[in-house]
Amino acid sequence: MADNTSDQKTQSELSELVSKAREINADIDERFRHTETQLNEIEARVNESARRVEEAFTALDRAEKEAGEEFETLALEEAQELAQEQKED
Amino acid sequence: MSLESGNNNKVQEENLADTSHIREEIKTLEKQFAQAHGNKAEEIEVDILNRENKIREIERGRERREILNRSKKIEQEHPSLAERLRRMGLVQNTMGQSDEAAEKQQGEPVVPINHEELGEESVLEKIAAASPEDPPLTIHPEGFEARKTVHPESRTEFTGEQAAFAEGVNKNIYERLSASGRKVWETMSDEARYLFQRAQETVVGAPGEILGRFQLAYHQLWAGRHETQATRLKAKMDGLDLAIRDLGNSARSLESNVAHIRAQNLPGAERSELAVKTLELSQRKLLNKKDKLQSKFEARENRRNLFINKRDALANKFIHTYNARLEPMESELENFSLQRDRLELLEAVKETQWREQSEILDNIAHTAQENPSLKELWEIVAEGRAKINKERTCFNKRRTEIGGGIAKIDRRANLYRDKRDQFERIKQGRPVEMNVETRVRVPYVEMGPEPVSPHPRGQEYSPFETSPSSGTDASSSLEKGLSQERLRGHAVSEYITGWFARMHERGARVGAESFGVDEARAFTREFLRSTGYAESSRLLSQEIRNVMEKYLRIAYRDRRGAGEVTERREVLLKGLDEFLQTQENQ
Repeated sequence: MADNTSDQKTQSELSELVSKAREINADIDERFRHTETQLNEIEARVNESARRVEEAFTALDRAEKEAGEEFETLALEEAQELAQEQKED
Repeated sequence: MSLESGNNNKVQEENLADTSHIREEIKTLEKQFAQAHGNKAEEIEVDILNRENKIREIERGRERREILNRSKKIEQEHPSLAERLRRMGLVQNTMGQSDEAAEKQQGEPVVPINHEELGEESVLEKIAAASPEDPPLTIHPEGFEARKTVHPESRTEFTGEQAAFAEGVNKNIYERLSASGRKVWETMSDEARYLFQRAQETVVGAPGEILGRFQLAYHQLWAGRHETQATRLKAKMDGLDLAIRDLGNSARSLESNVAHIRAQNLPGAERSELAVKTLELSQRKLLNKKDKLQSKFEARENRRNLFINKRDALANKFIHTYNARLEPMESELENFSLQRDRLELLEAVKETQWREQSEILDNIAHTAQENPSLKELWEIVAEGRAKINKERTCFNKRRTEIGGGIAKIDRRANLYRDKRDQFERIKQGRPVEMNVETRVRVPYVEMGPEPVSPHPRGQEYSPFETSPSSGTDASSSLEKGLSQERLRGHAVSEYITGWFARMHERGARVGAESFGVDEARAFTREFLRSTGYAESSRLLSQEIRNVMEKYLRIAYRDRRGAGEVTERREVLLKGLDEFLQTQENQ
């Protein structure tokens, strides 16, 4: 009688343990999905920002190129003036 | 020398393939010359000279033909490049000049190119056909230096080193110039080009880059040359000042002598007066000379100021445009930083979850190990472990990808930030210093795998620890498996409540904010929502410290001028450290 009671208790605890292990596995799956959702969200935001930053980079390159050309022209004109000045001296 | 002769051309063409037999003939003639000892010396010498001239003509014709062939090949393979060559001046417009006229101008014979005889359609003719408004073209063998786009009056014949320099460098510089720069370059005199070349050659920094150009104009063209000249003028003026002052002193001294002589009624006063006048005349001459120098000096000053104004206007324009573009970029970079922090927080949370899940599974596995008959349980545990490993691998891979992308953009953005800073310095009128120390910026630590420190077990429970009382009794081991996993760490809510309570006791405040029970509840709610932890999730003390640091970075994110946010974050972290220390001591 006592053995039966003990077996039943063990069986019950065993079932509980199996149930807990399954619960953990389900929890792992659930959190995995949740993590993937979060990663997807982060990645989408990063990609969107990257696209905008690339646009900004292009605009900056263009601005730099234009300024560079203008400045180059100024430098050439200055060289011309200096050469003329030297000639006059 | 006649340039057009059908017979000559035929002979040239015949001999074009091989001129070696002519050289052989010359050698024979030289021998005869030596034997004749001057009897027919003059005749032979003239013959030798004629033949050598002939060789030169043939070889020059061959060179020109080779150039034409190369041009044709380029045009066939790269039609746009051929057009570019024509524009750059490598292909020369003869402006409709006759060969004789060209010869006259260049001072040397020009061998005509008979394209029909060569049996090929010239690339230049093709180009000319494509641009009917242009006169016929011909390649100028001397390249850029011989281009006729520069006004002849403005040109100076360089010799020696300068000529060699100009020859080699002109082409390189021209190719690097922008379209507007090329237009200016084409109208520039050789002296001006030479100045620009020398300046560009010595400029520090990468040629072609805008900063290099600014530096070039600032240091080499203005500071380097103009200022030297201005200094020289100033030195001359100073010298004149000295001489004028000396003359004035001498004149005054003589005048006093004259007064003295007159007072004494002595002879010779007129002579001294004449000397005074001579001195005054010299002084006036020097003053005139100084005035001229002064005007030159002032003109230089004005030109310098004009140049500086132009430079500053350009720099301002650039900085304005640059800042306008940088502002949205900075806000996007701020978003990158936020996403990076979120990624780090997620990683820290995942580490605790994996640890927690693994420990529970280990605990159950321990029980299953002691009861080999529990095959089903064992399989479930194995499946759980495999799932954790898979998730960890996937997570690490994606985190590396996302973090790598962010780091790449951040590195590139740093280049633009640096440039803006450098231009700010130009705007302030300071010379550009390429070798200045790089500004101190908080270095970005690339998202590598976080070092997963082994969690010290110490006196705490180990899932594989066997107690002396443990035996094969299934019931007792099952009990242990279910109860002991709860001994590790503390629930998140317990940490937060205890931490805030301690801060409240110590009367910690940031501005008007305090850390009471209500604040702890609100904080816990928000923390659980952001991290995905359950209220009962159990964390070790190192874990709560690590996760909390990352969470606070997001929750109390710095905004411009929000110094209090940083202060609150620091106060909270300090309070947490003290609380955890107290817990450990207990």
